[in-house]
Order: sequence, then structure tokens, then C-alpha cells
Amino acid sequence: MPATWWLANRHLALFMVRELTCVFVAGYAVFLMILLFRFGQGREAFHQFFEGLRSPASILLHLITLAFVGYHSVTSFNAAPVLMIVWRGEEKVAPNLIVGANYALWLIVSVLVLAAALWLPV
Amino acid sequence: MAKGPETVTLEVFRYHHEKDEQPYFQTYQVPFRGDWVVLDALNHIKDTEDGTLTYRWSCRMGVCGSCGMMVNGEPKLTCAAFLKDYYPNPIRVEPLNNFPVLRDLVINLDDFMHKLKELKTWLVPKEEKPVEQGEYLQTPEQLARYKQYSMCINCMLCYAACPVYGLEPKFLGPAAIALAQRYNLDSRDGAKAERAETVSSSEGIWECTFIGECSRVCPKNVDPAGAIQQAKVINTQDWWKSVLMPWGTK
Repeated sequence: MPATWWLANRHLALFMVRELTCVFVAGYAVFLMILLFRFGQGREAFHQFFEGLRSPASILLHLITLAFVGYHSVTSFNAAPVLMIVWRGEEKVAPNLIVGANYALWLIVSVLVLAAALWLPV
Repeated sequence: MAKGPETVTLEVFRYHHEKDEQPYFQTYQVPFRGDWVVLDALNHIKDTEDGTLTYRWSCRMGVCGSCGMMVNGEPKLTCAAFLKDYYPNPIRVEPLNNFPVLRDLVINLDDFMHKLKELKTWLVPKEEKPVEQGEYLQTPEQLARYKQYSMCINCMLCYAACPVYGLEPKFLGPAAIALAQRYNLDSRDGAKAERAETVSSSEGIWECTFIGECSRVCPKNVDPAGAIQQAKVINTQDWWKSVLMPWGTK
């Protein structure tokens, strides 16, 4: 098989895009760890780090990462019914409900994190 | 002036190991009829034009799994690929990807057969019952658990579509694993532990990267990708149980 096997059709190309999004997901996890580390080093160190994040390059990278992580999340949630099968007698619970439950949980956790960020004293 | 009969062009892969150094494509003009499928076109060629064209087919209604071929680069049952979906463009017919070619459109499927045996894709009763004790009973709910995976007709379109199988021929593959899952989920079966080592081997479920092409091309909606991912979940749960509760009965 040629190394360009993934260009054979649209589905394979989108699969490779999805695989690439994992780099950005892992990269952002590393970024968060660095953020926490700098926060632990004191106010001055964190302030310097934070100022660096305001640069156009950093903002652009964050926007690209947001797009890729968003695509990763949406495709993962849409694939959830494949893994999470819930039986009700002879019928499977509708896949839309499984996908919806994942989105609902994502929304709830996001609201809780945002609330904590806004209201907890720093 | 009367319009001549409409025709469609078929470009068919040809290869005979005793005569040809390399495969080549032979072009045929076949009458276009709205109710004809690619298999009808191949049969027309063999009947009227070129009796040497070699291919497998049987039921011509999508239940035997014999007539799988690549049609314009997509794995298809040729008995289910209508000429009108391609007309007036030419139709390229090739043997299924990822299998050695025996002759023309016929592939060697020994590897698949071997993998079915490796995975023990047959019912191994949990308890042997003599005939006098009657049938093995099963509720509709128990049947529903595995019914979808029992729809597999072993057509191997999923193997032709799977890039992992193309890159790593040792991969057990979508249909074989889906069939193993069909028996593992069958309430009458007792060989899940016997199959587990092969299913969870590096050539088994963990070789799959959930590309999903297998399920997309499956003509019977078996969803082998789903079967493999569910097998990963079950296998992981079983592993944790064996680590955290090693005293549990198998």
C-alpha cells in the first residue's frame, strides 16, 4: 500500500485529520501543565507567562487548537453510541440520546468550570 | 434515424499467471439497461463476448457474499451495484483490494478462512445437552444482543476497505472479529475465554484504529467497527476484573 493510502477517499482523509487533532489535544494538556507550573512559581513568573500568551502568534495558535480540539470532541461524541450500547429489552436506546447525554455532560462540566473560574477567589 | 442501443464501458482487470507477466485492463462495451447490475454486465461479457473472463458469483441477490469486487475503487457486491448509478461514465472493475489475485477478478481468500478458524467462529455450547432434552432456548432479548453481527455474509468487502489490513496482513480483520463477537454475545455459547487470547492479541482488536471504512462499505449493516470497539470495552473490563478480582469465576 502506498504511503498516500489515506488520500484514496474523503472518509480516509477526514480520519487522518481526526488523528492529527490528537496532537493538539495532547499539546494543550502539556500547555495546561506548564500553566499550572508557572502559577506555582509565584505571581511575577505567572504574570510574565500570561503576558506572553497575549502575542498574536499565541492567539493564532490557540484559535487553531480550539478548532482542532472542537473537531476532536464533536467526532468523539458522535462516535459514542458505537461504544456505549444501552439495551432496553430487544431495542437499543436511540443513538441520539447517547450523543445528547455526552453533549449535556460536556455543557454541565463547562458551566461548572466557568463558574469556578469567575467566582472562586484567586 | 434510429438511435443505436445505449452502451456502457466496462474496464475489467485481467490477469492469468500462465500467460500474463503483468495485469492489464480490458475494455468491453456492454448494453446499458436500467435494471442491470455490474454482475449482469460481467455475465453478458462472459456469455457473448469473452468466455475467459473469470469471477465468482452465486445468488445475485446480496446474501451469499461471493461477488465482491472493487467497482470504481469502492468495494461493492457487484449484484448490488447498478449500472445506472455509473452511466454514462466508464466502470472500472477490479478484484478486491488487499487479497492476492488468483486470476482476473478471483482472489485467494485462504487468509480470511484461516482467521475464522483461529477465532473459533462457531457455536461452542456452554453446556452440552443431549437431543432428548430439547432445544437450547433463547429469549428475544438474548437474540437481539448478537443478531446484528450474525448478518455477516463473509463477503470480505470490509477487508478490502480496511487500510490496517492492507498495511498489516496479520490483522484478524473486521468480519472475523465481528463474528467472534457474535458468538461471544450469544447466550448459548461458552467459548469466550478460549477466544479471548486471540481476540485481544496485538493482531486482534488492538490493531484496529477505528477508521470505520469497514462499517461504511458493509452491505448488510453488520457494523464490524462497532463490534471491534465494543470488544475493546469488554476486553478492558475483563482485564480489570482479572486484576482487581482474580478470585472471580471465569
